[in-house]
Amino acid sequence: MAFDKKKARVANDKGTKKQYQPYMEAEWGFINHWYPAAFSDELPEGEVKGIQIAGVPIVLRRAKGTVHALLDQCLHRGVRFSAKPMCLNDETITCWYHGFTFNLDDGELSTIVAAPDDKLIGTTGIQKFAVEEVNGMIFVFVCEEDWDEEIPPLKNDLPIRFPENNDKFPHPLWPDTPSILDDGVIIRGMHRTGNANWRLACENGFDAGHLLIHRDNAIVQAKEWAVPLGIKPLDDQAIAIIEDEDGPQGFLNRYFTDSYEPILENPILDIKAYGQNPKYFRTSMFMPGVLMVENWPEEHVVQYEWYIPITDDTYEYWEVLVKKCNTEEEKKEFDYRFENLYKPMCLEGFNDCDLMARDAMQNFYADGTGWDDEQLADMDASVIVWRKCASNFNRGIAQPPRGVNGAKKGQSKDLAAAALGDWPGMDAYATGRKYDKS
Amino acid sequence: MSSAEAVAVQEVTSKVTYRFNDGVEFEAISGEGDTLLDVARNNEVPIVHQCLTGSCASCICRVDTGDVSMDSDRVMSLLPSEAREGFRLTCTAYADTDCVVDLDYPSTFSEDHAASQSVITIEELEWVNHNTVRITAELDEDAEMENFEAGQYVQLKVPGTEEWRSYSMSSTVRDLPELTFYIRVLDDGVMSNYLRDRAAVGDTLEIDGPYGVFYLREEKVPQIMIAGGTGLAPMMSMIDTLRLSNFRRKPVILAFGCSFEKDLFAQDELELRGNWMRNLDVRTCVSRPEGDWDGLTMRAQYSITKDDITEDTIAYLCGPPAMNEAAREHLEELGVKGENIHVELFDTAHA
Repeated sequence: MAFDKKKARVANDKGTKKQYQPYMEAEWGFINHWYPAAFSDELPEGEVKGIQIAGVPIVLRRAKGTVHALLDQCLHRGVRFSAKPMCLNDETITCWYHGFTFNLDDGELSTIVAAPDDKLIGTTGIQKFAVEEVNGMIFVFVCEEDWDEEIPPLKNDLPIRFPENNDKFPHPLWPDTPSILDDGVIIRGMHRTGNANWRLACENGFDAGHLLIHRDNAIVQAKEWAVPLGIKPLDDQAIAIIEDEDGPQGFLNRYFTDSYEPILENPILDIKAYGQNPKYFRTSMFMPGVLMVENWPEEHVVQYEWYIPITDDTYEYWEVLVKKCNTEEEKKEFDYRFENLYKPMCLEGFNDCDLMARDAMQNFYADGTGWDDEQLADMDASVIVWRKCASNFNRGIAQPPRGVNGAKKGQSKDLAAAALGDWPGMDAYATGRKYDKS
Repeated sequence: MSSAEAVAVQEVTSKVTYRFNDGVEFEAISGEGDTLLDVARNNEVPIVHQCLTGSCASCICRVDTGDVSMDSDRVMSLLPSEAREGFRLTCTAYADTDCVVDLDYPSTFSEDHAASQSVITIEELEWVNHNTVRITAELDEDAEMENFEAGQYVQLKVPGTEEWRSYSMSSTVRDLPELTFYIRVLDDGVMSNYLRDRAAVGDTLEIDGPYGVFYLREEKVPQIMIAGGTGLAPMMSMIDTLRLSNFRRKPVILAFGCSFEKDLFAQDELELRGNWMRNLDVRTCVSRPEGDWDGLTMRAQYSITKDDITEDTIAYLCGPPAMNEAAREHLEELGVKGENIHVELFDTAHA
């Protein structure tokens, strides 16, 4: 039997697609936003680390306690400083190749190791990025080189907070969850690289229809969580757009209200959700692509996720749990649960299924045709809302970069890495992790 | 001109200095009866030109010093105010004395934007109001056109005729090989008749271009665009180009005007762009409202006021000659510098 796809009822027809054109153009992500760059403990004093966000290579260095972020590309021959870090004092970073040396505080070329009289010195430099370190996380404001405005506060690129939003977004079924910016919170988490476009990753966490992939997860079974097969939006109140001029921008799914119906069984297939224990949670998504899952995985805890574009086909998947711990004892207990329960069974076990699902979409979307050929349904209302929010609220679309990892596909280094697995230097090229077999 | 004067002119050879905005200058000697464009072409001075008859305005220059006269019978596309300010069309202009003329584009422009010929295939054809068609077409895969500036135009050959007509792209270079045009359909005219009576998806049209020096200057300064009718097309290309380069921190004002409400089009497209660019201020104007129109009632240019103008404002005008003329005058009164006002002819007389 042949189906005429053109006659199918679609939730995202051409008119809808037009409304999120900028999102479709953002293959390399959004720029002029705050993104997490590293956990504080990944960057001890004196350490250097290279990352890439939205096609922008960035080197982090901690000197005298302060974290600095500069463009991780020497202006001389374009190598990454982080490939083989060389720091000769606390004020500068030196390129390991020909000794070009840059000030950490303003990026200026301050000297060259073997050419201290060179006329270039003092006339040029590399881009410098704003950094904020808070509660064990390092954030970088990844911006265009010609950004000349005041930098928006970090809070505008993080989810809304509680209790200040309790009136707007009440949550009678669970207690207030903390924020990364709250005093005295502890943050535990991990990050790793996924092999898909960052947008496919973004669209997974708040997707009300995807809970099926978590049905058989060990944590769900062990705790007998009543996780539905899916959650169905019922009316236009299901999704709230959050659009403060000077605040977080995004949307919130009003789960566990009359606007969403949990689907617990499908009699045609004779499938039912397991679990007797109610599991209340709520998802919301904010620019530049940060998910908040309230009341997850336990009460008083919130899970945040980022899907930070590295290239147009890789992203850094960040998962953190935030909890306010009032006593040392409480902290110790939470640490124990994190290490022995939540990290292996939630951030890995449960969310590994999400990671797999995103990467599984990549082939369909990689050449761009998937965005035209996909056939979204009513369950995807929040996906479409997110695409429109992102189109309206972004501060800029990252341009396809030149001269960086991922800008050109299928180079010899990629093939060698694939063939050999551990080609020396591969890490340094691909991820900015240092090559320290000196 | 008396015969005695004509003899006197012919005996004069003048030195012409062509000065491009990247600072590159060319000098050449004008011979008898040569137009400035003839002189340029004979001496490989890279002046942009297309029609050679004074109608496309591509070959525009501005006289800095010296006397340059124009064959006023042939100058159809220069505004009187532009002529008074020293603008000339080089294809109809003669150096009466030694002179220096400025070309407001870099000396590399014509090489970087060389016109080429190819074909397009119509993919979508949509009537966006009672007399305007939006065409989306795909450029042939062998086409040489890889680059054009937002605001430039191409010529399309009307199928079944030998007639060519000029249309600005509303799409951007990022959309290539797709090109989009908004075309006004009049009661008569070869392209109008084709679009109304015969045009269909799948038709192929010959295309020649890109042409023109009405294009988005890259300066990161406040932008004002004034469009009448399908003069909106090049502005849409410019707005999308600004958006794609993350031009978010300086205001962009688009004043779009039509006589009647029923003549408006692309309102949904403009609304979306207003959502995407917080710095975009779209002012839709109707000059002869009927019924319950509750928007701005005026000609588009008059929606621009003193408060919109800064010292470095750049303005782009594209509409019927009367609108262009009035808009230029209005903007200059408000303090926009003459050299910062770019004008595109928009002439439906031969549609």
